[in-house]
Amino acid sequence: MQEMDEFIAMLRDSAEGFLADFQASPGAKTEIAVPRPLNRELWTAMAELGWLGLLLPESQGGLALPVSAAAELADVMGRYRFPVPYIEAAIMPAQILAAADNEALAAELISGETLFSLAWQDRAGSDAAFAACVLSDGQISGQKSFVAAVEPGSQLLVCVSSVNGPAIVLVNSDADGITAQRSATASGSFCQLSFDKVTCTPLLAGTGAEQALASAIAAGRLLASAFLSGLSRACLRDTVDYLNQRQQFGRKLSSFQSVSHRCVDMHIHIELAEAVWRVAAEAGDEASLSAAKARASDTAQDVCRQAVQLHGAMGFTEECSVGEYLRLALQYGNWLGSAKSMRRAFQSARTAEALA
Amino acid sequence: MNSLNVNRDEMDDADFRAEFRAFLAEHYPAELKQDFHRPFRRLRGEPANDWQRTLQKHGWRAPAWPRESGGMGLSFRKQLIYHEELEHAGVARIIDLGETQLGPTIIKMGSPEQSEYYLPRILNCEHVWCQGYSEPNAGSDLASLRTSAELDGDEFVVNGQKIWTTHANDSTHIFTLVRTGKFEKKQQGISFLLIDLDTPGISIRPIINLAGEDEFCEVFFENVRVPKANLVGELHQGWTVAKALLGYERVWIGSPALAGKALALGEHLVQQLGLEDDRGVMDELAQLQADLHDYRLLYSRTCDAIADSGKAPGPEVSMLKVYASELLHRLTEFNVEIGAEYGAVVGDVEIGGVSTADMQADLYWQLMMARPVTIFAGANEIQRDILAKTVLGLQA
Repeated sequence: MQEMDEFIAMLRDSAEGFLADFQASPGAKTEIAVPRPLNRELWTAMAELGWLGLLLPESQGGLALPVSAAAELADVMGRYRFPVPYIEAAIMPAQILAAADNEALAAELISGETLFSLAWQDRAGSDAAFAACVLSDGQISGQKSFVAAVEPGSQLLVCVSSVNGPAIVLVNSDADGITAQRSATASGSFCQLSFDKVTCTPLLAGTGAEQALASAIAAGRLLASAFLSGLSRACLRDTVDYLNQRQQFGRKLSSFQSVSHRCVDMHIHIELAEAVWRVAAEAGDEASLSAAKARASDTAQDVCRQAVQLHGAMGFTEECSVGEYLRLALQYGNWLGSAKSMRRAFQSARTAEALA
Repeated sequence: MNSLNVNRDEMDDADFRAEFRAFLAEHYPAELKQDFHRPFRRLRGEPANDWQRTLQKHGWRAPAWPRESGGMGLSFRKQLIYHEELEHAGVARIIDLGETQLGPTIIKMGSPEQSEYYLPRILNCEHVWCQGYSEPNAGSDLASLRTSAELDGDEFVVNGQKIWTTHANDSTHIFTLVRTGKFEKKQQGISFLLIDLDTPGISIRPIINLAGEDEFCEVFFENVRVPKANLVGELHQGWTVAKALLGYERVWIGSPALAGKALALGEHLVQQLGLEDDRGVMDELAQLQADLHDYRLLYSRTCDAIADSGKAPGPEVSMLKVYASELLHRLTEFNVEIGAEYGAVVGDVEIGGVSTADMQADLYWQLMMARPVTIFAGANEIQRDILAKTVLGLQA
């Protein structure tokens, strides 16, 4: 326990240094409505820090850390508004490869030489994953929505249905028969993918496929919650700094109660968000995980929107960093379960628990 | 059965919890439990004293006091378990300010004679204490208080008025903050004085509150002569004496217990009124359920941090009071709103069940009983000022 605490403190420390350097670099600023390609050099540097294989078993060359450790890292990434699809291209695909027990693919993910992306979602606002794409005669056809971090040459892990039930298969994003429609997000892009008789390699089938996807989504939700919690904290801190410095009517903005009390309420929500994701990281049950994602999604979007208001006209410009916070809050607050849908999931899980 | 000499602080947490749970199940009177009709039930007067004596007889009284003072000597962590079990068993709340406020103050700041005389009498309920802090012009701005105590030989002569004195009409004694001098800062020149309510010159007038209860009172002092020996701590240092306990007060006020009772009522009402398929109601309920769930986690995280540090709570615990009290507001408001016409009733009403038995409810009472929680012990606006300054570093 203590050893793990010390390790996590080290992990956070080294992440702080790396992320602070990145934030000060020219490539850190995100743009509006432009799909952001993944920076391969940065990705390789993250691989060298061991981040890509954090959760993979030692037998596959990973660090075999608990998901709570990855959540700690995501929290620090949030604090530096890190616009890189770590959850999408490292954490979630790794859960699939770990379940598939595929050492060769895991090694490619860990080293960063190959990019992976999990193409799971059938449609918006839903966890349905095995109906919109069909496997037949070793080829897949159909659609996948909101596939994040698809880059040239990415390996896609696609959730499909087959005559034998659900399956997860591997295809290369450059393969013939794939068309992609790309939209920009804060840290990269979403692709709407269409598959027309694309030859694939099977990876997982049946309940194994379902369980692997469930664990990928759970890890994604947890890390997104931690990321949003850290993001909110940094956005509020920057806002407090601004309010302490800006003067109007001969007073600091921070001295106005209507302003300071709003900051206090944001602070309390951030404390709630952090308390919940930390418990969810240890307990891993559906109720606390859904609660964590709901709280973090609401809090981050609320804090970042209020930061726009509290920065005044400056907050509505791209001259300060509020917009970068807000775009990331929109991305991770609405992907993998919006606040409302996660609260409904929490309520169902809680009712089920009470009846059990 | 345990003897009084058992040091329960040395017990394993789980054993401690199990033993207290069993004790409560055996000894707490069923008719005094909190229920849907009175979710925030309080005990006062004789029923309260009877129950405190039962706790005392079995060695479960005064969890926070040291054992040498007659208490249980529980660590902060065990005190949390103690409170959780009271909540779990539906034990009505008792405002025993002798136990929670005065006792610890005397133990920390009082003379040996004061400890010897007052502490046993608090434990056996011979003395029942109320707190005389607030005044008509000194509420959240407590340091502006004006009730005066002038030294005349071996006695203080007290003149002035206290207000919002909870349960003064059930109490035998009052501990007060009084002005003994005027200095540059208004926090200076305040003293902490113990007064027997039987002393000539004291009159008490109960005030009926919005819930219809005479819980708080005005207490008037007219040339009331109080022995000098009743001063706790140094003369003029009463602010420091009183402040030492404020952090703990905010921790207990921040307990999610009341909100838990209000949510249980709300969940029952949803069933009672057959609203399970109303998406709007269920989404509102989900928000409240998630809020309480998340708050319970924050509360225990904050309490664990206090227990681990071994230090008194810092200003950050103000956030507990703010959130818990406002959540209680929202929960009781939800209960009134989904009650529709039942929400218009002032007092008891029978609510017929759609799929459950009829229930007796008083949605008015629970709404009103939640109101003062955002006001007392430093209004939430003041708590936000404290948090803005000390926790967030927002400059004045």
